Amino acid sequence: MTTSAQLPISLKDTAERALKEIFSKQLKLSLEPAESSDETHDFKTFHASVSITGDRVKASVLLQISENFAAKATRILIGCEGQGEEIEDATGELCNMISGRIKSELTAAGFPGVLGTPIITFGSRIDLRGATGSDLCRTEWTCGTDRINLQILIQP
Amino acid sequence: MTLPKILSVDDSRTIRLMLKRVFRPFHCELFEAADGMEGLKAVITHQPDLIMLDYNMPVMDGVTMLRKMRELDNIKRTPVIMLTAEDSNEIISTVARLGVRDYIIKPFEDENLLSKVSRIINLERKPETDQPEAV
Repeated sequence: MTTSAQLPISLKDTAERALKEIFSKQLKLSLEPAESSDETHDFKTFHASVSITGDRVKASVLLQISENFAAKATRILIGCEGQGEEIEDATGELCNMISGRIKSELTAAGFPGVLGTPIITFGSRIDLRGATGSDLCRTEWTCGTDRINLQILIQP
Repeated sequence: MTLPKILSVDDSRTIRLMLKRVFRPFHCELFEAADGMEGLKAVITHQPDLIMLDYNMPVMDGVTMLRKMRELDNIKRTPVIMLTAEDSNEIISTVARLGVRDYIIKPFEDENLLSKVSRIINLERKPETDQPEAV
């Protein structure tokens, strides 16, 4: 497995490129960088996570979006109002696409892996934490009035 | 008029619904399957003119479904477009050897997908007033 010292790419730049590509191409929405604040942790959000696993890399990608934004993104993707499971599935698919782009950059950097199946949960905002030697990147964005949080954890 | 038949094989309900949205303005029949096993049965039952196939799926993945299709005389020539978040050269080479006609990496733009599909089947647009229901 890799450590932060071995990873030849910037996780922050990788996260930004992946997120912006999916938002612009699939949702036709733009993003602005934002500062994280304690009050964002009080929001109820959908969490979608996807693993990327290979011989040299073990990564987790976590996307957190508000209920309101999840419903909006679902409406854009499927062209009509989504209901419960449809909104959950759409949130997972967004994370899957983002993870696909991140996996592609990891592969190009010499760390190939395979994507796991998206896992969806709902609740207060969470922060990934890694063991010593892990590489963690937390990014915060706004899309209109909605907040988007994307985290990548590369475990040693 | 015989409508072109498209089969979407993807474990993501979102992708299946997205394809429904994309093809809604066109005269065509859209069938769905949630994994390779269901997809194989659907190909045999519906004899589609085109398959939109994911790679990563539970029960049976897209490559295994392709391999099994290519062993069956009556469906082995069915055109397939891969629609997947996987873009590894190894997978692209494998499906190319299995005769896949095109490869679309998610995220995708509707126009790009329709352009690739139109190279394989004839998509005829419905009149503007004739599009409220899914195909």
